[in-house]
Amino acid sequence: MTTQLRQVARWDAWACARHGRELLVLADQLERAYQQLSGTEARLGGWRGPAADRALPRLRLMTVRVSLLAGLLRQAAAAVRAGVQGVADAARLATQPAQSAREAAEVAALAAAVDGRVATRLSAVPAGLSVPLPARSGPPPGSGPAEVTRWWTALPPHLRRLELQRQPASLGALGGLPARARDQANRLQLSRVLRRLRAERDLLLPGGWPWLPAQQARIVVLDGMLAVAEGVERMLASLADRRPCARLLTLDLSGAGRVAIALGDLDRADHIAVVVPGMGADARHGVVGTVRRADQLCHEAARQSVESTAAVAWIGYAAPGWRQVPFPARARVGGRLLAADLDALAAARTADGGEPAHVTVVGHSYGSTVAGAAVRFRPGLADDLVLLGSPGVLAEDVSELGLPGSHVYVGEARLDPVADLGAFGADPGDRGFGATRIRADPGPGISWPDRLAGGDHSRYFDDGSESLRNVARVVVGRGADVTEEG
Amino acid sequence: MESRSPTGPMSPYRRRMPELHVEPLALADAGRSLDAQRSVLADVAVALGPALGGVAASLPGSRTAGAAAGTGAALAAAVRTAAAELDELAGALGAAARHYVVVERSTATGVERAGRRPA
Repeated sequence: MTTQLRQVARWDAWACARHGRELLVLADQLERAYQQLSGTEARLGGWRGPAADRALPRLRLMTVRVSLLAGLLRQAAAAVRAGVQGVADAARLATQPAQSAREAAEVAALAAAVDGRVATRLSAVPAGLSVPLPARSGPPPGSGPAEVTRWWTALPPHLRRLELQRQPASLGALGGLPARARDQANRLQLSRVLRRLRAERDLLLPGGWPWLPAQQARIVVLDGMLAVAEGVERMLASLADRRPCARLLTLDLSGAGRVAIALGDLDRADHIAVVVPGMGADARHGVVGTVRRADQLCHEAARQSVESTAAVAWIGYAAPGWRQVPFPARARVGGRLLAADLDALAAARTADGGEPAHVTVVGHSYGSTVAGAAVRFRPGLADDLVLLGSPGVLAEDVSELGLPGSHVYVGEARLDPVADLGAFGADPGDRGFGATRIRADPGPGISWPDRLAGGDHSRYFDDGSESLRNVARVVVGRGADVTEEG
Repeated sequence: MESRSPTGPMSPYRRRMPELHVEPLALADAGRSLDAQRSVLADVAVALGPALGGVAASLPGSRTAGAAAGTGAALAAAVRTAAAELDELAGALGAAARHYVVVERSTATGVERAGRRPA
């Protein structure tokens, strides 16, 4: 073994990770100091006169400097944490007896690459001490979610606050930002956009319905956007007392609209479920029902495991109406949007060395077709897939979904007329499809006339149902404990 | 001449001349708050060395070890400097608060004396 490999074999990834966490704790302390100083500065805001003219600018400068230092410490922590996995791999390989000189050289090259990457990022940190603060900040153009996460992590808190005020719309939609930051941005954007839309509507309707066709068309558009925005506003108000807070992850009023609301601490939860609704559940009509289902799933997950679970009510695609539902086009488009959102979710958790969550996508009805399209489009974004009352997932068997059959669960209630359609590929509930078939009986108290009229299709999330218990077991990583269909 | 800071209740004398003073209590609070944050920064500066030193020690013979040592020293120095400046500012605000209290008391005494003087 060469001297270099002997040294690499002594690399201690665990200690490295621990010191990386210590740096984050120190950065948090500086961030809290920044917040305290900001508060002090605000409390002295009414002070006027020559002494104030000298003291307040100094205090402002100190506040910004502490914020800058917090950002630099976070940058250093991120550099270390991002390298930990590579350090562990290199050390593990270096301790194994190399089969050949070529293998030894490959291990040495891997170690040098990891080392170089971390060293370069760490060395860049002190440069931030002398660089003048930018007036504006943003991730490099064309950045993916992982780059966005790294940019945001290293951004000093005062610039974060500034950017949230300046550009809430673009930050709210920026994949890779932590859920908390996206929520702040989207809530601010929601209040601004509601003010703007209401003002424009009042302007167009001063004393009755406008007679110009262009104005009438605009009113229709405004009413559509207002319906979505006011629906979200009402939903957030109804969730105001919830702890942890509900997070408004996505707010897009263009076209059919896109909304995603997270329940639970998405940035830290052990398990994340993404609930994808089906026909008719677009941003205008699907928020209440989808959030209710996500909430029921969260509660059941808490009964099934002591580990924490967050659920996302993902109304993030143009859900079809009766006319569009026979076709898979909206599922394909929705699948790409869902894949992008799952990608962003993963990046926000892991881009700087954080722990990934166990992610389950739960698709109901046409939403299961969307979920199928997403995992086909980007395999590996979900750990488990649950398909409830599915008319098909654009696949002929489970192997096309990029997940083993033991991680794809299909629930079909006995009297669900949609579940056996097999309209989009094979019927996932068929044995030949290869998925795990879970019992999905509706809860008690449903009348037979209701069941015979197809009511089973909408009962998969009912409290007390075997279906909800099974879905929650999958969500909390207890897929082995589901009750299976005979 | 300083104008009143909006925080804190006004003393009876201050109500008579709201344009004369900054609120001494607010200034004293600000000085204490700055001092508390100075203490936080001083602790962070001390802890930075072991944290980045630990990174260096856990990766012997690496470029990262050298970079961690250099970065740790630079950051710790910057945090120490910031702590020293906060210390200065906290001291100045605390001294100003004490000074304003003295001025307030002497002004109050003057007002009382003037009130006793026959017209």
